[in-house]
Order: sequence, then C-alpha cells, then structure tokens
Amino acid sequence: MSEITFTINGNTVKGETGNTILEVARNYGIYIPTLCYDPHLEPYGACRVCLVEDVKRGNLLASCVTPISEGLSVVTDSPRVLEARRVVVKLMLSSHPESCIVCEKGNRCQLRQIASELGIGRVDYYPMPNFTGIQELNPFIQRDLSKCILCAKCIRADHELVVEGAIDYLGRGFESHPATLNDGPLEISECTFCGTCVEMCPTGALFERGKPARGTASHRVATTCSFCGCGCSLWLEVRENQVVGVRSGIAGSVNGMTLCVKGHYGYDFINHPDRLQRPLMRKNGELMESSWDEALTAAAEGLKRVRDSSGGESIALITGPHCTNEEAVLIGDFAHRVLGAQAICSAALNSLVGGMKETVGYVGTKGSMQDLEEADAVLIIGANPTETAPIAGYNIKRGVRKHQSSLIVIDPFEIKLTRFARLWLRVNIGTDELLLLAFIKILMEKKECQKGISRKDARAIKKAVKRISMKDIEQYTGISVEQLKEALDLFCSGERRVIIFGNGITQQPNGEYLVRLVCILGTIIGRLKGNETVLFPLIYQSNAMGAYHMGLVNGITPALLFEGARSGSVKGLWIIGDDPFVLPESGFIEEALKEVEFLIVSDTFLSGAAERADIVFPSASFAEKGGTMTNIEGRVQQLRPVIDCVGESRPDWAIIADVADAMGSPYRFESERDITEEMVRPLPLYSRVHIRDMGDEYYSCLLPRSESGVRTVSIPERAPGFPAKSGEYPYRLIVGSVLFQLGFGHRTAHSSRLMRMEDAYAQMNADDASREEIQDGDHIKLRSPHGEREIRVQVTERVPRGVIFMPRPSVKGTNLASLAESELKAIHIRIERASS
Amino acid sequence: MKIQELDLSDFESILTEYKGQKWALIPLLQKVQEEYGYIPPDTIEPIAKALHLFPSEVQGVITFYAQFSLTPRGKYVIRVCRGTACHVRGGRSILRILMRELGLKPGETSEDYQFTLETVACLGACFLAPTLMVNKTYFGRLTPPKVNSILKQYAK
Repeated sequence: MSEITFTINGNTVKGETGNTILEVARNYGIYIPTLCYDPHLEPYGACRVCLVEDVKRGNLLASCVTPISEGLSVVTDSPRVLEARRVVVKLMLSSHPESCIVCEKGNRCQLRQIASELGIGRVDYYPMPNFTGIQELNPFIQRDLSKCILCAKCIRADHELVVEGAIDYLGRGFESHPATLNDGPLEISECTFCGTCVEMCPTGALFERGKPARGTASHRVATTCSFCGCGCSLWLEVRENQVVGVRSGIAGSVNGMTLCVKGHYGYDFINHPDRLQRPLMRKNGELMESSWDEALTAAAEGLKRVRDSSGGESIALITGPHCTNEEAVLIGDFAHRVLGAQAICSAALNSLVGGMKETVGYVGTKGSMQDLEEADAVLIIGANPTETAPIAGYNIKRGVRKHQSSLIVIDPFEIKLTRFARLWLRVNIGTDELLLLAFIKILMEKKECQKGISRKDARAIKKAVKRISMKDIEQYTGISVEQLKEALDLFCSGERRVIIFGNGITQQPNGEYLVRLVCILGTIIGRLKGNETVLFPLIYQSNAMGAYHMGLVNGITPALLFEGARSGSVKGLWIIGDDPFVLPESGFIEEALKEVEFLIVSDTFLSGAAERADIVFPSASFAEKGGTMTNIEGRVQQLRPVIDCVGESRPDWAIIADVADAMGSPYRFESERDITEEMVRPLPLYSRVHIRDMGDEYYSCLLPRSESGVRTVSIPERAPGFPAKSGEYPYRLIVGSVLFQLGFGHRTAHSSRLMRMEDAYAQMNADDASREEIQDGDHIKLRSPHGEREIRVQVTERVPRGVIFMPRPSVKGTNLASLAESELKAIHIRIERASS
Repeated sequence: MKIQELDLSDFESILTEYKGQKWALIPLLQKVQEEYGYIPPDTIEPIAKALHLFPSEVQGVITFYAQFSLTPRGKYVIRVCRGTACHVRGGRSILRILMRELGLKPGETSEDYQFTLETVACLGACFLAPTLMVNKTYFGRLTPPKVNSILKQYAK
C-alpha cells in the first residue's frame, strides 16, 4: 500500500493505492452525489451521477469506479460536470413517472434529492415511460419498476450481501429490468423477503407493503432485534407512539445492511390490537380485567400461600429465551432469594451446556459471526442457519461465493445451503453418532493426530471407536468411507475452520454425548492442524446465551417441571414470555397445568398458558423496554425503549420487581440500567459491559473469549447407538424451523404479515408417498401413541425416506409428543389416510 | 433440429463437459442453442446448478445476448438489415414484403417453425445494401422479386 497524492478542486489530498476518487473525496468531506454507489457493495459505475472532470485530460470520470493516481487533478463541480450530471438525471426522469407527491419513498428518494440539488425543475425531454407494475401477492415487498433507474443495487444486494440469487437483470437496453427467474412475482422465486433490496433502493421502485402508516416517521431509535440469536441492530421508526417501520444499516452491527423477513417486517406484532393491555384475574372461573394493584397483591398473596404451605421449592419460574439479561438475572434472584424457588429458561440448552463444558470447558463459541464468512472450511452438522439464524446463513453463503470457502453440509434433509456446499453428506436420520465416531476413527488412524493427546485419552478414544466397524458405518449412515475421508480432507485443508452445529445435534436423545463428539472432533483436528477449530453452536433463540450466563440454564427442563406439576411436586408456576401450549406435547402440559395450584403468566398476548392462568400480567414487548441481550457469538447489545408501553403493560423486570415489592422484599430499581449496574456487571464475564456509555450510539461489547483449555477429549463408555428397527410407529416426525416464523411462532404468530406466509403442511419423501399411495396435496393423519393431527402432504425429495417433516408452527398445540419427548427432534409416528 | 418434441437426453452429457466451470456459461449456452435451436427454459436451472451460478444470472446472460433465444425458432432465421445504408436503399420495403409474405412481425416465428423474422441494426455489408441474412448466408442488392425467390428457395 503506498500513498498517492493528487488534487480535488485544487486542494491536495492523499489516498492509498486502490482507493477510488469517490472514497478519497468522502474521506475529506467533499460532496459528490451518487445513486448506484453504496459502501456495502462493490462499485458498479452504472448511474454516471458521480461524474467528475479530469482537468488535465479533459475527461469526465465516474468517480466511484476510477482509481486514484499520482498527479491526478479532478474537479467535482465544474460547469461541465454539473451539466453532464443534469443530463444524466434528466434522462432518468424522462422515463420516470411524475408521481413524487404520492410516492412511498417521499423525502428519502435520492433521485429527487439529486434532481433538486441540480436544480432540475422541468425535464424538457420527451417522456418515455418504461415498465409496468408487477402484480404481487406477497405481503412484504411491492415493486413499481416504472420508478427503477437501473442502478442494480437490489441485484447486487441480493447477490453480494444476502446471496440468494432471486433477481438479476433481464433483457438489455431500454427493455432491461431487474427480474426473477421467468420474470414472475417474488413469491414464486428464491426471494426470502429479507428487505435488503428495499432498504437500498434509491427511488420508490421497491417499497414495503402494508405499512401501518404512510409518510415519514417522526423519529427513529436504534435497538436490538429480539427474534433470533443473531442479535441484529436495527432502527425502529416511530410515529405517534407506534412502530411504523424498521431500517437496517447501523455501522458496526452484526448485520450491516441486511436483516431477515422477521426483523424487517415482523414488527407489526408490537402494536397488534390483541396485545394485552391490562392485568387479568380469574374471578368465578373467568379471566377479568383488573387493576395493577389488585393483581400484584393477589400474585404476592398466591405465591406466599404456596410457599408457606408447600415450601418455596414447589414454586418454579419459567422464562422464554427472549428475556433481557437484566430480566433473567432478576428472575433468578427473585426466585432464589424471595421465594426459595427454582427458575429456568425454556431454551433447550442443557445438552449443549453439558457437552461443551465437559470437553472444551466453555459454552458458546470462541469465534464470531465474521468467522463464518472468512473461514476457509465450514462444516455444518444438524443445523439449518438460513431458516433459524438467517444472518449466520448470509455469512456462510458470502464465504462460499466471495471467499470460495469449502462448505460441507451433513444433513439428512436437503437444506438451502446444500446448494452452496462443496460436499453434502446425506447421512441417514439418527446416525450422526456413528458418523462422528467414524470421523474420529479415521483421524485417529493418522499418527500425527495422536500427538497432542494424552495416552490415556487416546486409549479411551480408540476403545470407543473400536466398537464400530467401517462396514457398520457405511450400512447405517449410508455414507461411504471414501466420502467420509473426502469430507475430512476437505475440511482439514482449511487454515481457518468452523464447525456449526445446531438443534439436529443437541435435541437428540443423546444430545449431550453428540455435542461431546463434535467438540472432540474439533479439538483433534485443531491439534492436527496446530490451530483451534472454531466451534459454533447455532443457538437460535434470541437471548438464550444471556439466560445461560445469568444462571437460568441449570439442568432443569420445562418438561421436568411439568412432570413435577403432574405428580404434585410443583404447585406454583410463573411463566414469563413463553407458551408451552405451542409445543407438540401440549396435551400433557394441559394436564400438568390443571394440577398447578397457582399459575401466573406474564405475556404480551393471551397465550394458551395465559388462558389457564389465575393471574395474567401484560408484558411490554422488546420495543418498549431497555436492557441488554447476548447474541449467538457472545456479543452484548443494548435494547432501548422505543415507544411507551402499550396500554398498561410493563416490562417483565418491572413486574417481577413490583411483585417482590408486594411481597415485602422491594428491589428499588429505577430502570433497567440499575439492574445492569447492580446485578449484571458484577458477573466477571460481564464486567466490561459499560451500559452508562450507551448513549444514543450503537453499543456492543464482545464478551471476553474463554481461555480455558480443553478439559478432555476422552469419549465416555457407551454402546454405539444403532438406529432402532421400525415398529408400530415406523415414521419419524421431525419438527424444524421455518424462516417466516420464529420457533413455534409464539410472537411471530401475531405479525399479520408473517402469518400470511403461514402454511400448514407435512413433507414426505416421494418413495414413501408412492408406497403408501399418497399424492401431493392429499390429507393424511399423523398418529402417535398420544395424539393425532390431520394435515396436507407435500411430496418432495427434500425429505429423506422414513421421515415426515413438519414446520414448527404446524405442530402447534398438537398432542403428538409426550413429555419425555419434549425438546427432542424426532417423534415416532405412523401415518394414515385421512377419512375425507 | 428437434423442435416440437424436445428430447433432453443429450443435455446431461453437454452439462458434464462444463461442470463447475463458471467461465464456460456462454460456450455452454451456445452448445445448448446449437443442439436444440433455442435454450429451453427448463434447462436454466440445471445449467445454473452445474456452473455454481444463480438461475437468475443465467437468465440474465441469455436475455442480454441477441444470439440466444428462450423460445423455439424457425428452421431458417431471416435477419433483415435496418441499418442506415440499407434504409436509404429501401430496407424498409424489404422488411414489409417479408412481413406480408410470411405473415410475421419481427421477432415472430411461423407456426410450422420454418421461418423466424428478425431485424438487426447492421449486418456490416453496407456495400450490398439492402441486405438480409438467412441463417449464415448473405443476400444483397435486394429487390422485391429477389426477396420472393429467396423465400421460395427456403419454403417447405
């Protein structure tokens, strides 16, 4: 890199080799208008608005794509430059409709801004309107290509940032326009409605559909999205105490310009008319609105009654994983100190915590989201990032397309990422254990792998892998030894390696053991290569990491508590921001809740659990409270109250504090910040979090990475799990996440736009379907020993044989699972033809 | 040429030749076009998959180049020059005659897939103006009778 000196408008400026004129001009605060340029995208040079004049040669140069050179002398505002820009903009306007007054883009339109800067009032040229509107049914994005100026920002955002490939130019010359494959509507394309193109469109060609309010928002507040664990930063736009829009592009955030459909368009749940506005109390068997004082007193009395009669240990608090760190720590403290009760987070993290702690000594990842993009080799096992944690998915796809990283996907299902993978090992369902053992077995055959491992551990590993033969592996996993070796070689050839694993690993019956195997595999490869392999558990629930750090992941599962309720050992229950009734074991939960003596539910909506509660507190949503959240990579980010609490709702921490007060053990916290200072920052891990510094700027703090060494690579004695033979219930129902809903859709189900993409279906393999004589679109009955569900079938090759796949929202409230199967990925079922 | 009933059995072998080579998109498309007379839209996705491209990108390239077509074309593609030199020598009348005789507008293909009529900006043979091309053969110094005899030559 060498320094280059040149002049802009007669002033001497300095830049580095490879800089463009525009970049240097912006560094020096010299204004050059642009339309197709965006710092997040590769320079394109399409719009010609950024023209500058080369004084010596007399050329007009597009400054966004012209590299600087020694002795260059440019002028940004000579009469010739201004005239050229005027012509360019007039040509754009000559094919642009004159509908600025009613245009959704309003004052944010960059074309209009530049036209007014250049003093273009009348276009003078013969108007040549181009393109017609496109009929679209999707509830998120509307295209009006008559306003398109062909800057290709949408196409480049799609290809470079989100890497979906839904659109590209079609045709050429005057006819060319951004289009999907076959020029159809977005909903039948690859589009995931992430809204990044809408965010970047300089004109009104792309805009958000169904906005709660037209026109400009009065102000916007930066906060953190609370849907999934990626922890995207976003601006919530506000008008009249209502959230009317979401914008991305906060500098330094994990997501940059991107977001996903939930983050961008799922915000309409915040001001949904069904939001709980006032506390409810059960009077004569019916839930009736009440005052806060009355509800708080009743809650305090109820909790006291249970505590005094059956002891504090018979009370449990369950919080959903989207509570803030402050709420999590307060819930724990309130439960232990005031009630003597137990408190847990419903995020299914126990097997992950167990497996990682035992082996590598830390939980979570030592890497970052950035690593997913910059790694040379990425191995994904039992995770589907594009659906569960979309931003992580973008990172992985960018890595493949931009950095040619080697992606290896191990999954029985065809997922979106298999298309990007160098290798896809379609392992038979339920045989991950054998596959992981096989990897370790192959590695241990190499002498150099045994170097960094103690003799005792090596013996234990060898003993463990001895029990399986390569023949067994091929037979059960369906993957040949050659393929396994190819995958290992490909993965090990990478200097920077990441293993991503998710629910497909952690939510198996032997999840903890599988997590151990993944960690051991990563460690052995790390020792072989001499640098650590980044382990990246894809924890998709928003603040599951924070809840773990705050002590709410402690081995007790919600299922255990509901079992306790059924057997009478749990008598008082307080469910905060979670709804067990969306689980496939809701039948058992219903029974359990009937046995509970005293049930409190705090929620934003009247959930299934709330309908059965004695007291319901209306909770504030993430847009109405402050605090911090810890994302998937261990980054602490701030939440800000953007609007006043809807109705009389209060943040969950305030409700806890109010009840504590009513019980005579007041906390005296004025705001979330006091809790951060007094209860979160004292935790050694969080001591670097300086919430006082969080002004209006975006703030994030990466938690210190664990420095603990690997504890053990020894594999515990355990008979290898060969898949069981099929019995009376030969199919496995696999419940998985879908992009348009978060988990089972507890909150996203109240976004009317996301709900329009809801589709209840079950997918089955084409071979199974033809054997069972079932056709695509038929209705079938799924039956387990506990319940049944009738549903429409999609026949697809995406699903492996012997498996029925259902998106989480489709199993909502069914009785297919038992409590023992809670948090498990697979439920044994059989299928029957529906009578109708 | 296989037009009415598309037989894609050779398609896989064409693909295998170019698999994984991003740069090979245009040669591959040319080969497909040569084989089938056009690029069947159903082949876009397999082509994209084989070359690690997005289907929309492949479509973009196909529609950008005039040499590629996504719809079946006639056995004989007639390209009438509409350049300046041909225009002053009566190129417009030549096109009118062809449109009337074939019953086609520029860009259209006859129902029996015998002819496709196209216009081009210049054939680079201005000294022969007015000109047209039938597939790869040039015809120059056209007159109405000459046009009719050319048509007769290629008629079924």
